Formats: sequence, C-alpha cells, structure tokens
Amino acid sequence: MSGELESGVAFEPLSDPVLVGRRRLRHVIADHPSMIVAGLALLIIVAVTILAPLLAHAAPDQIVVTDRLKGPSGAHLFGTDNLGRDILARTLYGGRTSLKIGLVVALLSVGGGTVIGLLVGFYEIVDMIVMRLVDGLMALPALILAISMIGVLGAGITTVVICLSIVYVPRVVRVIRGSVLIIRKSTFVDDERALGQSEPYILFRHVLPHCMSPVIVQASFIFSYAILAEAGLSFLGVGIPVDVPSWGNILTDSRSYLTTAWWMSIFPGLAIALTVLSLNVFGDGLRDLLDPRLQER
Amino acid sequence: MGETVGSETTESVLDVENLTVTFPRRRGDLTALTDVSFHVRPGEAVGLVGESGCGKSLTALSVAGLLPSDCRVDGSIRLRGTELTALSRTERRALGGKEIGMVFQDPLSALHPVLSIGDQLTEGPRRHLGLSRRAARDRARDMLDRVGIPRTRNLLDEYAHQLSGGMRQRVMLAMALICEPQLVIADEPTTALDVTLQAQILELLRTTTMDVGASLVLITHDLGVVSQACDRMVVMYAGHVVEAGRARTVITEPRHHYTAGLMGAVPLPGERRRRLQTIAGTVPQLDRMPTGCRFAPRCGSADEACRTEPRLEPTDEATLVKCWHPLPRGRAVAAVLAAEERPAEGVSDAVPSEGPLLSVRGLRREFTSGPALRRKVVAAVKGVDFDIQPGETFGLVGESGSGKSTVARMVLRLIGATDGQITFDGGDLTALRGRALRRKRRDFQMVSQDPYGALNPRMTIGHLMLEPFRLHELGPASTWRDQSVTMLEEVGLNASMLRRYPHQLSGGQRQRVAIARALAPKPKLIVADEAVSALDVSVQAQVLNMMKDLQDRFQVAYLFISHDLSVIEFMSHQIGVMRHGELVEVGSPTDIYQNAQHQYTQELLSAIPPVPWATR
Amino acid sequence: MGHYMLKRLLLVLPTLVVPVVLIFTLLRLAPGDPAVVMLGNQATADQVAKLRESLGLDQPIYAQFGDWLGRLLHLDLGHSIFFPEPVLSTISDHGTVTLQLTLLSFALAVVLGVGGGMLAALYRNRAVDRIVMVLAIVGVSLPEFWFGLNLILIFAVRLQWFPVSGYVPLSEGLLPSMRSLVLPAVCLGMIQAAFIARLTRSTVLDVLSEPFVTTARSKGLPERIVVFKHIARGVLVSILSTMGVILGLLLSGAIAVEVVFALPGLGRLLVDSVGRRDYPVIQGVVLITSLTFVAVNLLVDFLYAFVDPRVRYE
Repeated sequence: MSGELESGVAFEPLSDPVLVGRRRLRHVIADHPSMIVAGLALLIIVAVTILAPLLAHAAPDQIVVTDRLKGPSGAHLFGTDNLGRDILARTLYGGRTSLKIGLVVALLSVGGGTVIGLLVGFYEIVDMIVMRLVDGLMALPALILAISMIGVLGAGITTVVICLSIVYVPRVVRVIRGSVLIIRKSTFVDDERALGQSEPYILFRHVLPHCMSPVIVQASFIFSYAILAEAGLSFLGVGIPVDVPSWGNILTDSRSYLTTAWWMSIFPGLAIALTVLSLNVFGDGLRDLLDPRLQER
Repeated sequence: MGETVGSETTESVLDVENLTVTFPRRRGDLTALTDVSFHVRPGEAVGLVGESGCGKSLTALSVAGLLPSDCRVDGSIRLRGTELTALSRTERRALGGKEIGMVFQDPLSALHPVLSIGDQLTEGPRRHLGLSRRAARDRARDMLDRVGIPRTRNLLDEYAHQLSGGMRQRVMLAMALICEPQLVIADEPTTALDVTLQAQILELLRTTTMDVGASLVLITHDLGVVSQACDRMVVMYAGHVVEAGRARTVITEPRHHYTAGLMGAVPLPGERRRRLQTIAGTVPQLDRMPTGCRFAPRCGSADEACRTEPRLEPTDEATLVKCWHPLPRGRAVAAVLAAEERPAEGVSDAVPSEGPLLSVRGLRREFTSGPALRRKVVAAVKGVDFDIQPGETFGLVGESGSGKSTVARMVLRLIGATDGQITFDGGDLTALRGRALRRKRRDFQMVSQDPYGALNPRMTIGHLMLEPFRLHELGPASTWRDQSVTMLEEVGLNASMLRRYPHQLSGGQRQRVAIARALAPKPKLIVADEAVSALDVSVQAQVLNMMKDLQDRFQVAYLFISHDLSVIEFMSHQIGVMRHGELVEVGSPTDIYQNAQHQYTQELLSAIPPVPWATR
Repeated sequence: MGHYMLKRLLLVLPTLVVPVVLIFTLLRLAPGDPAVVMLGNQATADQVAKLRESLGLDQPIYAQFGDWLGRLLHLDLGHSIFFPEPVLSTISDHGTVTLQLTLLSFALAVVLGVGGGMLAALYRNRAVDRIVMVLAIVGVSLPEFWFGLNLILIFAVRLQWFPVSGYVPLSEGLLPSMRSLVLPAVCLGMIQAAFIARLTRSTVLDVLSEPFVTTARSKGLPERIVVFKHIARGVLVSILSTMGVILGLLLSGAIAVEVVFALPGLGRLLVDSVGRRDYPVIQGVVLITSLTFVAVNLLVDFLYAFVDPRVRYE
C-alpha cells in the first residue's frame, strides 16, 4: 500500500512552501506593477507629510500680509493664499490631518464592522436584529447622514471621525457577513465542529482568518472614502474647524479666488486626488491578489 | 458541404489529426493536448474516455471552436472534409448549432437563467434554418416531443430553474439537435444526474442523435457509459490518445496499461471481498509532464524503453495503442482482475457479540420552507431505523434529495433531530449538550465529500493534524507531533506533508489527510458522507482500499454514504436504501444485490451501467 | 410574484424605523438645550420657553416621540425657524432642483458607465480596456467639489460655454434651465459613471465565465447576439440590484455639487440649515431623502422581479 503512494508522492514534486512564498512575492511584483507604484506613492505621501516641518519653509498658519495671493515661485513653490500663507506648507500639514482622519476612520469602522459582521454572520439570532439596523442606516445616503449628525453634534475632528465611522460600519458589516456566510457553508466548519471544537474557537481561529482579505481590502477603500468625505465635509463647512489646516479647508478658502489664484485650488486638490488614486489602485491590486478565484492561476 | 472534398475523407464526419493545443503563458507555454487524432464516421458514437485533466473536454471545445482566443491550435480538424482550422473565427462560429450540437454537463448553469426555454430553443433554427418565430416554435415543440417531453407539457415559456434536472438535460439535448447537425458532442451529459435518470438520458441521447442522422462524440470518465452507448472509444491520458478502437474490443481486451488500470479500479458487483486494483499516483499536471511515455511513472510495467515516447500504433486487430509494452491479447482482462485476494474479513463473518455501536430509532427531521406567510413543513427524513455493529460498515445509498446526508448530519449532531433516538456506545446521543457532547465527539468523527473545502485552506497540514490531539488531549503534548506523523503514515502519507497547505496537495492526498484527522482520536465510528465521489476513479480505488485496511486495523465502524451502488456494495456489511426520506430496504449486500425486495431497489440496480468486463 | 412584492414591502418597514428614530434622537443628542442653540445666546427666557413648547421639548420623551410620529403620519414636518413656511414646502421647492440634477446625472452616468464597463470587459486587456479603466479609477478618486471647481474654471470662466453658477428654474423654459444644469450634471454624472463602469466591467467578466455563455456560442450565434442578448441580460440583472447604491452615491454627491454650482437644491438647503441650526429643516431633509431612497430601492426590487424570472417565481 505504501508502494502505490510512494510513487504518488514522488511524481507530484512540491517545492518547499517557504520558497513558494518567496517566489510568489516575486510574481506579485511582476504581475501588479501598478499596485507597487501606488504603494510607493503612498509611502512617499506619508513620508512627506510626516516630514512636513523639515520640508516646508514656513509654518502653515504664518500670515505674511505682504505676500498675499502670490503665484508659485522659488520662495513659495505652490504659491500663497489670500492671507499670504504658504500653500505648500498648508498642503503638507493639511495632509497630516486628512491622512490621520482617514486612517482612524478606516481602523475604527473596519474594526467595529468586522466584529459585528462576524457575530452577525455566525449567529442567526443576532443576524435578524442587527441586519435590520444596518439596512436602516444604509437607507441614509452616506454624506447626508454624516452632515446631519455633525450639524447637530457640532463640528470638530472627533465628531467627524465618529460620524464617518458610523457611516461606514454598516458597509463593512455587510461585506464581512457575506464572507462569513460563505465560509460557514464550507465543509471545514462542519469538520471542525464534528471534531469537537467549540463555536468561539471555530469563529475566531477558522472563520476570522478567511475574512482577513475582504477586511484588508475594505480598509484600503474606506481609507480613501474617508479622505474624500472629510474633504467634502470641510469644504461644506461642516467638517473640522477652519483654523486646522486640512485639504478640504484649504480648498474652501480657495473658492473665492478661483479665477484669480488657480494655484490655491489646484495643489491641494491634486494632493487629494493623488492620495485617493494611490489608495484605490493599491486597493484594487490587493483585491485581485487576495481574490481566491485568481489565486490558483 | 462534404461533397466538395476528395474520396478519402468523405466517409468520415469528423477527422481530427495531430491536434495540439497550447496555452501561451508568461512563464512558459502549457501544452494541453499533444497530437490527438481520431475519426468519427457517419452514424457512429465515439466515446472519449479518461480521468479529469486528461484533455477530453478540451478536445471537444477545439472541435466546436469554443477555445479561448489566446490559445494556439495546431493540426487538423475536418468536418465532412472541411478544414475547420482554416476558417475564420466568424465562419467557424457559424457552424456551431448548425453542424455541431453541444450538450454540457450541468444543464442548470448551461441554460440561460433569464431567457425562456422557447427563446433559447428557437434561436438556432431561426438563425441557421431561416425559420419564422412561429415555425421555429413549432419545431421546438417537435424536438421536445422527440426527447420525451410531450407537447401537452408546454414549457416553451418556462425558465431553466423551474425544471427538474432530467427535464433540463432533455432541453439541452433538444437544443443540440434542433438544427439536425452532423455531429453532436456531449460532455459528461449524465454525470450531474441521478443514477436512475442517467440510464434514461443516455439511451435518449443515443437514439435521438442517430434519429436525426448525427454522429455522437460522448465524453465521459465512466467506462460503463461507454460500453453502453458507444461503437468506438478513444482513451486519453495526460493530453495524449493512448488507446483507440472498437468499444467492445477495448473494454474486453484493453491493450494499454492505463485503460486496464481504469477498469480494475471500478468496484464490480459481487466482487467485494477483493481489493480494488489501483493505479499509483495521479494524473500529472500540465507543467509537470513526464518525458517519454506519460503514463510510465504510474505504470507497473515501465522500463528503460518508456523513457522515449511510444507512437500510437495499430496492434493486430485494429486497436491503436500508444505503449512499448502493450498488454497481450486474450488474457488482458484476466491479468488485470487477478489482483491479490483480500484476507478473509474477520469481523463481518463473526456474529457480533455485544449490542450495536449505533442504534437509530424513528429518526425524523423536518425543515420549514416557503414564503413567510405560507410556511410549509417538509420532512427530509421520515422516521429511519438502523443499527451499526462495532467495526462494521453500514452503507447508506440513495439519490440526491433522499435525505441520506441529513441522516449523517443528525448522527453527527451537527443538526438536531425533530424526533427519534440515537443511541451510541450505550448512551443516548441526543441528550448530550455543550461540553459533554464535545467530549463525546472523539468517539464519532466525520469525513466529508469536498476534498477542497474539508480542510481549512489557511492552515498547514501539520497544524490541522495537531488539532485533534490538542483538543482531546491525546497523550502528553510532546508526543502530538510524532502521533500526527504516525497517523499520516497510516494513511500512506509522510512527515514531508506537515509544512504544506491543503491546496498544495492532490484531491486524493487531501482526502487522506481528512481521514487521518478523523482517525486520530481513535473513534469508534466514522461518518463518511460521499467521501470518495469527488475523486477520479483510480484515486477513488486507492482511498476505498485504504479505508477497508484501516477498518481492519483500527476496528472502526463506518456509516458510509454514497450515491454509487457499486462503491456501497464494495464497502458495506449492511446496506440501507433511502428514498424520499425513508429507508425502503435494509439488508446484507447479498440480500440487496441478488434478492432485492423493494421495487425502488430493483430500479436502482437496473440503472447501473453494465460492466461487460466483469468475470461473471 | 405577489408574495415576493409583499415580502419586500414588509421588509422595508423596519428599514424605515431606523432613520425615523435616528432623526428624532439626533435633536435630543445635541449638546445643550436645542431651543437655546437654535435661538442663539441673545434669546430671552420667554422666547426659549415658547420654542421649547412649540417643539414639544417640555413633555416626557415618549410623549414627544408619539407626538412627532403622529405628525409625521400627517406629513407635518413642522415649521422652519428660518423660512416663514412649513418645512414640507421648503423641501418641495428645493427638491425639484435636486430631482432634475440627479435624473440628468443618473442618465449620463448609466449610459457612460454601463457602456464603458461593457466595452472594457469585452476588450479585456486591450487598449480600450486600459483607457476606460484608467479614466474610471481616476474618476472615483476625484472629490466631486474639486472636479466641479475645475469644470467651472475651464468651461465657464475660460471658455464661457456655460454659466459659472446659479440655477434657471424650469418656469423660465426647459432649455435655459437645462443649460444651467449641464455642468453640474456632467460633474456628478462623470464621477458616478466611473463607479458604474468599474462595477459593470467586473460583472460582465463574471458573466462571461458562466457556462450559459459557452452554450450560446456553441449554438453558432454571432458574437453580437451573444453579447447583447445573452450576456447583457445576465449583466442587467446584477447591475439593476446595485442601482440603489448608485442612487445613494448620487444623493451624497449632489450636496457638494449643489454648493459648488450654487444650485438651490436639497443638499444646499441641508448645509445651509446646519449653519442656521434650523433643526426642523435638517430633520425634514434627512427624512425625505431616506424615504426617497427606500422607495427607489423598493422600486428596484420590483423591477428586479420583472427582469429575473427566478425571483418572479420564487
């Protein structure tokens, strides 16, 4: 009996899994060049905002009345605004605020959404109640929900973060619940149960790891949504306080000078677009990479 | 269209010569078919046989012109003398339906979900025969009538999801035949159907195809099906044709070791004491093709000569074979089937001393279904009684929807029973809850069907093997790894598996791991639900043999569930036949197979494809 | 099918409860006394007391809720603090503009998005696919308001093809009214088109791998019919089910666009009311949009039943 198997194994030569992993990483880089570029761009953006004090010539709120509305020049690469503040400095410091908000919202909503989604997907009783709640929250368009909540609770960084997280949690719950429902049907969950494993063990040790790819992908997308949403809210005057530099706030200031000082809107706008674009491209790459249907090919 | 061409080819409907299909890949081309040649004559049925991954379906797609556009096709495919590979994509496409009709394996996914049956059936005739809508609908009704759906059952305005599986396959067949093509290609047309339907549909396929004057190419993994429906057969292995000839001749006197091996791997009626003949290993993957004879690594008679590739050459009696050492004529079948005898089975012949290990009484399970306001209660299992003796196998056989899996899940306590008693190992199983139930679980384990889904794909085999030992605290922790390796060795694997992930294993290897895991806590009962149905014949035989060996060694009882009567007969000491949630007949294999009392059992038995190579 | 519709209808009711309760509690969650916040610091105690009474804030919470719910059922959304008219009429005035804008953008988005997405999928990995997908991913990465600002800069300020901002009501003629909406609709529509194109492409790719597409090809149908009949029908079913989500995105996007282009729509009303602390209007706008949203989703569900027989014969 072992004879028939010896040959079975011998003719299915499998390489060392570690090697497979390393080789796979090489393939990933070769197959997803855009994802790598986007990832590098993100790293640069983050690095540049962190190093803002070193890169900017001026403080973001330093008012120089004599330098009002100056176009891009050697002294002010991105030009100055209506109060003579350096746009480059404001864009860099604004990036800190915007990225921070995006990151925290992504972490909060994905974290909360994952826990709720897991429980909802696994226990049918919780499912009935929570999903009605989720549907109800989803019945409100995202920005309208956020604006009305912030409008009532008062603007501020904390409020924006909390409100945006509440807006995105139901979306994450849906996605996670979807994957849990699929995994719950796969045979290995039954196998584990038949083996004698307890339900919480199966949920956290077996089901959760399978939800990690959608979780990661969702996190990258919500990061980008949140940056867009924060910019939108601040632009509408219901976001973070005007004295804190953020990409949305800089753009709000630029509205009145649209025709006279184009640099006021172009540079912060490009910063948002580039950051969100990199996040989206990176997220797309991650999704393709983690998609089980594409894995075996 | 055949009249234009010279005399030599006019007698064939289809000539495939040296067909080679290559998929260009960034990391090297993959050649999926190499020099495939065969012919189909008018009115003839040709079977393409082989295990999955051998290139049967790809051959069919090449002939039908349905290959993805990025793959390279070399060689020649002639339909009534017309060279298909020379046609443009559009010209080629236009032949589909008109000259070549296709029947696919799973009719539910092959039929369009939101177009009506009538719409789908009339498309062909309206396009190829220029019929009006009305005329095309008439023709469609005609065709449905010919495939056994009476005109009174007007289903032109229905949709695929409203029909039963058998109905759908009839519609598929009608769709393939409606333009009266020269050639019908049927790709595993009965595999997705229940046993009793398989025979009917196969017969229908054969007769209606001949009826419209078409030739048939039947793709199947089942040698019984070929012997039942085909005049000639072509055996494929790893992208090669390895044997071709008259179906009867090849089946009674296979000349290639692979063909013979396939036949030996099928359990035969009345032969259940013998071990199954197996072919070692599995079909090689495309990127790991052995050089020389591709079957050599799995062949018992391979030698130095097999390092170079043999040619497909005629033997003395028109059978073509691609082998340096073809099996001799006349004694081929005998040689194959003269496998070692199994030692006499101690357990089954001895009268069981104690009481039954598992005793099921009046087991019942209801499900609610339907819209919220008109909820219906459907009984999936309607009061089932059976016993399993220690160390014995109880085989539960039935068609899909018969409730056999529900029984398994209730016995495993994965779902609750609506009513009834399960006594296991002297205790009431239905009374156990929570921790007590989980503790008891070490005595009854499960092996499920899906070799892909049954193991958590994100854990290494080592980790998966460790789980039962840790969970049930089987000996000191320091011994768990060694115990895992011992269990893997019991199922014919070794320690090199520990670091691999399930997707790096073949289907058969995965199923072995699942069995090793189930055996680890030394259970008294293993519930195996369709444990071998997803495996190829040769691998299935390996696993079945192994399960029998393990039963002898570990004195474990099986509740073995399958839709396949031959497999059930091979494995079981007692057999239960299920239909519509009821156990219609219980008895020993001899009772069931030679003296079936219930009409349904007889029906099931008569639906098994014939095994002409059986010795009795 | 009747059962299906009834079931959908019944499932919608609990969905509505959440926004209704949320909107009610929102006001109570506000820091400080809403009446004081609304009236500002200069208000006299008498004024505050009067507003408290008219808002029903002096009653116990359950009574307030019951009262509020009762008035909702009579379509009484209360009175605006700012406008001298009932909230409902303010909303219906502004609603027309938003409706016009969303419908226009929706049409643009669906045509461009579905067309582009199908093209990209059918010519997968070719130049068309690359171009459409690059445009789409850039599109979903642009903030609507910034895209709008740039459109104004180019087409209104430099080229002067369209008015810089402002709205010409329908009463002054269809064409001038439409002209004033072209830029806003393009702004909103293009960005939604990018979403739809990405969605359509992946849906078409999924459908392309379905066995029924192979069946259609095996019948010798020309690719044109395979695409526009067999594939399109399969895709339509999936796309339709996401139309509700698209509408939500449109309504969200409309807010910023209305502010940028100075259109007197619901979004602008919401933002302005937040600035004015006009709580009844905020409540009204949120309630009406969520009602619309739920109603449209219900409609989509019903349409779904017409397109997909599997649902119809459930």
